[in-house]
Amino acid sequence: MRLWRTAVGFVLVLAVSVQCAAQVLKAPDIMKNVERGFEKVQDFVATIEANVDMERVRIPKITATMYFKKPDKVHFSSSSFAMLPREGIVLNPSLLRERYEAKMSGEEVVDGRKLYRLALTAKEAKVRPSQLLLWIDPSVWTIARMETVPYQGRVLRFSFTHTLQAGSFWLPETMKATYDVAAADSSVKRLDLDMPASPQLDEIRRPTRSGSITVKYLDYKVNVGISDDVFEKRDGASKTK
Amino acid sequence: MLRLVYYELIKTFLKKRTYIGFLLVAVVVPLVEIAMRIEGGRFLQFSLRSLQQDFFFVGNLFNGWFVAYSMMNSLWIHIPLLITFVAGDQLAGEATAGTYRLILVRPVSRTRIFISKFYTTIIYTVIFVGFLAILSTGLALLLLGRGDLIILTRGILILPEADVAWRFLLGYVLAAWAMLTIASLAFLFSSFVENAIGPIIGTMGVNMIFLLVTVIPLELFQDVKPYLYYNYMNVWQKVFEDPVPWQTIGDSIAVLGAYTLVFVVVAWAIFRRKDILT
Repeated sequence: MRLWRTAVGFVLVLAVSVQCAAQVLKAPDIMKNVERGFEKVQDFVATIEANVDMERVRIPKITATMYFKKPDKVHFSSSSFAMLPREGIVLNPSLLRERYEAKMSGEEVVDGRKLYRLALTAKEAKVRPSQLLLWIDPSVWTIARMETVPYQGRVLRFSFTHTLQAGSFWLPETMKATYDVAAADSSVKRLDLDMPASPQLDEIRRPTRSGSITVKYLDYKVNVGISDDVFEKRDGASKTK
Repeated sequence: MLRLVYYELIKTFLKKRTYIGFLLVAVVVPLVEIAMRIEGGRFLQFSLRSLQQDFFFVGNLFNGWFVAYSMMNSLWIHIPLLITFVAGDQLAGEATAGTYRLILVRPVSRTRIFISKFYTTIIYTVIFVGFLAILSTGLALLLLGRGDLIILTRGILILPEADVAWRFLLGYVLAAWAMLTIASLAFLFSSFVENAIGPIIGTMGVNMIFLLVTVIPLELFQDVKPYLYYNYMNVWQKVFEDPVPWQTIGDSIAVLGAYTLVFVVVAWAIFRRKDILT
């Protein structure tokens, strides 16, 4: 009887373990799932509206047309001045997977949604930014949040919402980029003497602006076959990550 | 009165010195604007470098409106100096030329002659500021095209192009109003002396002192600043703020107007009692 119970217990534990192992996704699998949702998108045109809320900066509401073509071509056109984020305006998951090593960093519940948190490290030294944190929404396999340090002293946080386009493509609907200033490293001491910090560091240097920009993506036209000529004009063109 | 003003205008515009200001503006404005076009707005890029780390820009901010706005900064020192050339000569010029007696023996009161000369000063000031406005704005738009206007005072402000033209128009009207205060001071100094050099140097001297006291951020000067007309000379600049501080503009107009009135009334009192010896 005792042997029988032990055998049943062993089988149960084994079954639960196998099931759990099957459910735990690894970072590359998550990235592949995200990539899958974007792989049918070859190009798109969208109208973007942006509101800038930065320190010491006042800009009227921005309206521009964005052209994107895989793998990394982006072009903006606008009849008026537009100021748009260098990072995060379009994220091509294929490029992220190609350029970064992804590692699982846990799960988080954000606004009632369970998100996977991935830490991405650049495979090559020349890739910037060298590290990214991504939060992936497993319900639609899209990037819900992103965080990075694009350069020293700057912390950049993104939050995205997505919309289903043409019944099959999950594309960004809104993007909010928040620009914060990284806190000074108080553990670093220049001298052992107890004296105030150098004014060059604390007073004279112009502080980096903090603030946010909220971008709305409207009127998507997906896979319209955008010509490469559109991206030839350098003014307003850039490459995504 | 109109006939008197007409004669004063003829006298003023027949003098070569009246055209010094126009000539300098006609040379300096194209020179600076062509140089700015060649240089390509590098200094603007430098000002925006911190933002360009995080953002890229679509559209051209280095356009005619921006250059025309930059040219308006000549309203601080250069244009006041050129205005004093004529305003300071209005009364003193008659003494220098020895024509005071000649004009004052006519059956026209001193007050009417005084007013006609001041009207001429007003007309000259308005024409001169208008000339600067048309030349600097027109040429800048021709050379560099149009677009949204970037203002780099106290941070970065972008004004949509549709919201710019009226600001320039009103800005120059207010600039003319501010220049009239300078012209009135030169006119006042002109009533004291018999040579136009004195009013020019005197006005510019006062302007420089007031400008320094207004601009230098010393606590000692803070209490004095509200009483100096130079504190209100930037009234034209206020039009380029968003939202436009109408209350401040109204106050500045009133203060500058009060100064102008005081200068003119004092000049009139001196002129009426002046012992004409030439």
